[in-house]
Amino acid sequence: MFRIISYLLISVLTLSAESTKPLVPKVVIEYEAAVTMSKQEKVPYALLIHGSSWHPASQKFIDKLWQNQEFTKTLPAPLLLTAIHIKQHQTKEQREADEANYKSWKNRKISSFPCIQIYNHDGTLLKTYTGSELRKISTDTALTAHLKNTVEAIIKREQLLQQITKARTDKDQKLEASLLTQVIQLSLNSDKNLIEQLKKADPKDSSGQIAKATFRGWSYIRHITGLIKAKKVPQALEETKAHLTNSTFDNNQLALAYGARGMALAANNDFVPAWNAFKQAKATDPNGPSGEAMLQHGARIALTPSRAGFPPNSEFFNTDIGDNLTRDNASFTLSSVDPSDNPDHHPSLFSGNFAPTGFAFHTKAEKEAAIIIDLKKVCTLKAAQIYNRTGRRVQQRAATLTISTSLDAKTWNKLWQADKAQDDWEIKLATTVSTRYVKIALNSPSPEHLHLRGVNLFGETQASKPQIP
Amino acid sequence: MKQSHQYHSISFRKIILFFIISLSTLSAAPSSTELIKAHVTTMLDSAELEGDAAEKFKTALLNSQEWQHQLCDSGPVQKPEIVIQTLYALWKADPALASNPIDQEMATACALEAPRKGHTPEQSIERYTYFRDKWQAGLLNTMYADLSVFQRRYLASGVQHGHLNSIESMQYQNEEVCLPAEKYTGACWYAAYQLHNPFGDSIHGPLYYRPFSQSWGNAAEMIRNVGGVCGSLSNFGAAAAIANGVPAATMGEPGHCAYTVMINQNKWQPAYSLSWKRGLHTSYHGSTWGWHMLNVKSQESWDKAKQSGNLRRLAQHQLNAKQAENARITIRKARLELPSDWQNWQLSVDILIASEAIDSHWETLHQDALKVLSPLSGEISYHLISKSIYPKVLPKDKESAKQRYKILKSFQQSITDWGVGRWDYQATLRDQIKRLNGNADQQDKFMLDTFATHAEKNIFTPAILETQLANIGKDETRKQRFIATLAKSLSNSKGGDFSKVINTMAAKVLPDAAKRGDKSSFQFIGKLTAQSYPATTFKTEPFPGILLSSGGTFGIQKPGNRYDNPARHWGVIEPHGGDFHTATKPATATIQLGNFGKLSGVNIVTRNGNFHRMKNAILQTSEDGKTWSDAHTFTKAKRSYHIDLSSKNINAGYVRVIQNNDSSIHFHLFHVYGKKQN
Repeated sequence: MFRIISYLLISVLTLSAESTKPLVPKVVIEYEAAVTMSKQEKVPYALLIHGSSWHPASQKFIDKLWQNQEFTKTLPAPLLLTAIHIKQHQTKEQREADEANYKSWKNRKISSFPCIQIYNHDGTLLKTYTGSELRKISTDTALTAHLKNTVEAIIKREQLLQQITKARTDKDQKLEASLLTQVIQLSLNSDKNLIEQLKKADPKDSSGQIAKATFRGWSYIRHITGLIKAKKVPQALEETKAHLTNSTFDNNQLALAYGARGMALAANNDFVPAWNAFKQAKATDPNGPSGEAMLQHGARIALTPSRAGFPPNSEFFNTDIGDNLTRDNASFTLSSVDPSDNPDHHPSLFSGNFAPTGFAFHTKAEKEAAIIIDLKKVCTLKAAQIYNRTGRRVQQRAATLTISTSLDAKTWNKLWQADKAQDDWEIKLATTVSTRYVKIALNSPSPEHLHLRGVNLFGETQASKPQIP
Repeated sequence: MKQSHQYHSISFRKIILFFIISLSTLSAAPSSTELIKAHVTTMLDSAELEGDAAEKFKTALLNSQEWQHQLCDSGPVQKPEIVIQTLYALWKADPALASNPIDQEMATACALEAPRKGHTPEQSIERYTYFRDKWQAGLLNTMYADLSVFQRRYLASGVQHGHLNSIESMQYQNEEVCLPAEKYTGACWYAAYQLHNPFGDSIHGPLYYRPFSQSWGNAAEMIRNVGGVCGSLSNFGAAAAIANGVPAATMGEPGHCAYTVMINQNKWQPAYSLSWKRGLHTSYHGSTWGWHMLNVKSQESWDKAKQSGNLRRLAQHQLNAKQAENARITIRKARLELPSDWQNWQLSVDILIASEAIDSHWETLHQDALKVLSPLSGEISYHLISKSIYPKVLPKDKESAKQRYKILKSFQQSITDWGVGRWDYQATLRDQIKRLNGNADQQDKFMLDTFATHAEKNIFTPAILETQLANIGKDETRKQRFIATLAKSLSNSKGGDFSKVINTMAAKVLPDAAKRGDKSSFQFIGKLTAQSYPATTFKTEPFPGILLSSGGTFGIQKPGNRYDNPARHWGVIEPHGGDFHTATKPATATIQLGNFGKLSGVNIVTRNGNFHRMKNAILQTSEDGKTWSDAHTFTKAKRSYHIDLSSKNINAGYVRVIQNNDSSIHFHLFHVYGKKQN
């Protein structure tokens, strides 16, 4: 493996002659020897766990960096470098023989090779580099910088821990809490013990650090889902509100907190504020996975029932379409009423969740079957969103759908015609139209039913003038 | 005009080749070099390649005999014209591959898989480039260098869930799940087993991954973060191996999805597998595990695979040249030399049909299958025999009942074990019973004969018993008669009592079944034996979840020692209760769980005495039955143990107790609870 012994001896001799304490040799040594030296000298050590015999890039990493004197010279003192080689295709005996060389190594769960674990002299694992993060920093400058920062953080940690001991002796709980917060904020692996100590020093969590450190991420979302399913919506509303006030949350946590809030609000049928919360989740964490997931989920559970605009996957998302003109004020009449029509489902055409039957209204099969929507006053129509009835076969009935507008419900101006049947249509008008009535009709050559799940019309109200003819 | 010119060009080349080969047949058989070149030339012609580089590509391919063999002898070739068109596209994208053996093999594998997976040339180029570049950068497992084209086909094919085959997903897994080859069998657990996503949507609906589809740049990262059930987890595990240059494939099992990894040269290890009834999603000729293992075996020696291909091409040539006798001799040589290559058997059948072979030729094929294919795989042998040979050799008339019986029995005599992999032996038995034309006496005699044939090894006997009992149905008189006759064939039995027959058989069958991980035999015989000993009265407090141990297998070292009755082993892991007693150091008692799961706890009730023997024993768990982790140490000596494992986050398919300090441990109950994860 490594030409360790001779290198160690040469390095130790050379450096011990040249250096003065507390500087220690920056050498590559065998694992157990490194652990012993780390304890004796009270310096951290960086352990490379690699599979150089089966992963050629790891060998390159060792040759170019870990075992390269040019690189190790640039490293910050005090730090020891050591390594463990995990082989593949070994017999049980071979594996046991190898394992005898690193008996004291405890953190053996390696998610991806190679991996660097950085330990304090007391054996606490303080930093882990693996996967893409390690590959990105596998240049001499980047790796040196990271190791330097980590060593500095470890030194700082040691200093803070000493101050914490003193604060405890002095029974200065406020200082102790402040110092613990500083340790927790260092860019090192999280430490459950420190959180427990902080809970004692700052039981009210005045810094918000405990909430931040114990925030359960997506498990928290599962918890909120559980509350909603158990019909404990008031509790969900209360819990989600509390988290939004935590200023220590990072963007990912905040996105989840906003998303959880959106879920609770949607469960309470407050769809517009719910959608706003989901949008806020995305705005808080614009490039992170949580913000995006919350936006996508919010589009389904809040945006659609809120009827507030086009969904995130639409080309018209976040474009100016004005307000919803139908949700709160509009009414409609049908050209005919089929026995399948259920008036109780009519409100779902413009607001809230869609009807469970898959359609909000149902005309008879007739020529030019139509629904006429009365916006109650003349408005500037900018866009429309039409949801077809569910069911692949019956959706075909809407293949000839048209939209016409009128100021008097007598003279109609055709604006748009569908090319084919589809799940839903998103229509943004190239030029806006002033209208009070909107007719959605079929233009089929033979009699046909008209049945839609939802209609949302968007634009501006022209409230300043009396519009009713 | 262009087509016409091309037609003339192809015809001219074919005429010349035909002329050369015909001349050679007149004098002597064409050489294998000539035959493979002619075969590849035909493939090239069928591809109708266009572009200035086409001639250069053809020259490169036709000048390399090794490349031609890689193309023709690395498993079945489907849609050769698309294979060639893809290979041409790959070569145009990277002409240097012709001079780099590893890249050439990988490109050939990508071309062979293109028509099977519906890959466009662009997709094939993308996949090939991934492996080429990653290998050059040293970022693939060193196993990659030594893979055959056949093995590379699993890399080229990818996994069942297409989104995990994207370059972005592979890139992610190359970075984040880079492991020693044998560790990929545990890679499925990188993703948590979650039936519902955080929003409560079930994985069985369309909404489970939908909110997350844009959250990460690739499916692998999404699955790792969101979770999934056996399908997503197994696909993740297999895809991780593939992304690192280690062949793997996903497999369907009854109500479950598993995967397999080639952890070492030609050593395929099932992972997250619960049953032997596996159907591979990357498969050749047939999808079962037996087919897979047979195909692997046929490619173990590249020289033999090439030689086999040479013989097939010669036999085909001889058949085309109306030399049927020579063709039959040549293909017989091929199947006897490399019986694991299914193409040798398929071509044997094709030649016999094409040459309107007489009965004795079919009988020769039948005898060859019994002699050299059955020992490798009874499954594939019976597939061949029942589909292609029985219609020719099995007489149908009533007068030939004896002859028919003898022929059917000859198959049973040709198999002694499972061969390359466990298969549906019961389906074979049912088929054979059917071919006895509904004569109950003959069926019973045949099953008794079959039982006697396999009694010594006891591998097939549980299946024979189960099939025959089902076949007899509710006819108690017939059943009694059958059992009585069966009992006589069991050496230690003193009479026709069914429970004695079963107990005698169980003592041998249960330990063997446990050793092989054969859950169905263990369970079938175990349940029958439970009727002959009382259920436990000891009450234990169950842990959350289900009894994961139920439905599994249980075994100890040295079963059947002077203190142990293996006929009672089944009850130990079931609510019924049973007992066992080890007699060798280290004492071990091992459960292969009926269901893979996240463990919540273990209940153990020991025999009422010598409690000290459990002191310092260790409870261990394992995902694969090979690598074990400590879960609990028994510090106290007592009658029963209630071990809570809920906080330990253990996923396991196996649980055992190992006592390094004593040769004897003895339980009545060994119950493992948890949340099923399959």
